[in-house]
Amino acid sequence: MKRLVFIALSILLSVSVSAGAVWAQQKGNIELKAVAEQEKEVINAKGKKELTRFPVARVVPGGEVIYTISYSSVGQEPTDNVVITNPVPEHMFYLDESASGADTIITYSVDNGKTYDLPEKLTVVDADGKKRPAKGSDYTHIRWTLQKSLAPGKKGHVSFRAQLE
Amino acid sequence: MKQLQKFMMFCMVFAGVFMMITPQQAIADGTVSGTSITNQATLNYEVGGVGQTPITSDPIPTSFVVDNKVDLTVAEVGGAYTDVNPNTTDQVLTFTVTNTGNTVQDFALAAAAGANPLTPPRGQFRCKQCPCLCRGWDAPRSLQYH
Repeated sequence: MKRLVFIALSILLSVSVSAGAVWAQQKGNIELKAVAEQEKEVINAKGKKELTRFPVARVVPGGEVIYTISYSSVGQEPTDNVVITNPVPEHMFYLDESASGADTIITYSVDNGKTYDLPEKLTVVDADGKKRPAKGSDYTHIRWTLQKSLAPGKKGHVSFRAQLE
Repeated sequence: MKQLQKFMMFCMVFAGVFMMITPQQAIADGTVSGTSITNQATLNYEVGGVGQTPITSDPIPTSFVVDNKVDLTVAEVGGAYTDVNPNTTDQVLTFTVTNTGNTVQDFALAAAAGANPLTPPRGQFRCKQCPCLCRGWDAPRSLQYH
């Protein structure tokens, strides 16, 4: 009887440990959340105009959307070489100089994420075969590379704006 | 005098106008309404020099729907005034309607007399039956009822 109880407890413990491992793996050391918002002008309590953001559900062509990606270190160890990559959503184009992120180097891709570089170094080839400097509307991906290690409990965010075609 | 005749013809057009709209299924402008636009960020990182499983943003993915943009242009064919003889009916003005929105759309249009584009310059017309100076919009009416 004692032996049966021991076996049952062993199985139960084994299942619990493996379930916990899966949960930890899915969660990772960093939590990453993204939100899409739009801005609108409102009158504040002091009677002055100010811009306020609201989560977006529907957008008409030409509408501008602000994407904010927030990260938070939830592990016990510092994390290094943190790189956030965001493709420019389909049917949208990146708005020039709209990407931001504290303590990051921001690079862009014009070849579907194969290579990344600073804006001034990016070129594209037009339909007529001529090379020209890349514009925001040519970007396919945006990449933020954190310049510092991310200590446990630290958090931050990066963002960019895009316009619906 | 020629300008006055044109003005009267303009009024008559709106007394018995039949407006013919030429329907056009124009190519929608912009992303088609109802399209779902999704976005997902990925984060790569290392712990102790060892690469970890990339993390994708939550919610997975962020999305919104393209809304219906109702937009159209209406233009008179030829873009010029239509000359109509007095007392004629069944006159036709032809317009083109172009859907510049992002959805195939039904449009119902109604004709209405707009502002008179042929308003005679103030003080330019004198009645034949009296020495009064008829002004602006009153000029043709004065001529009619004197």
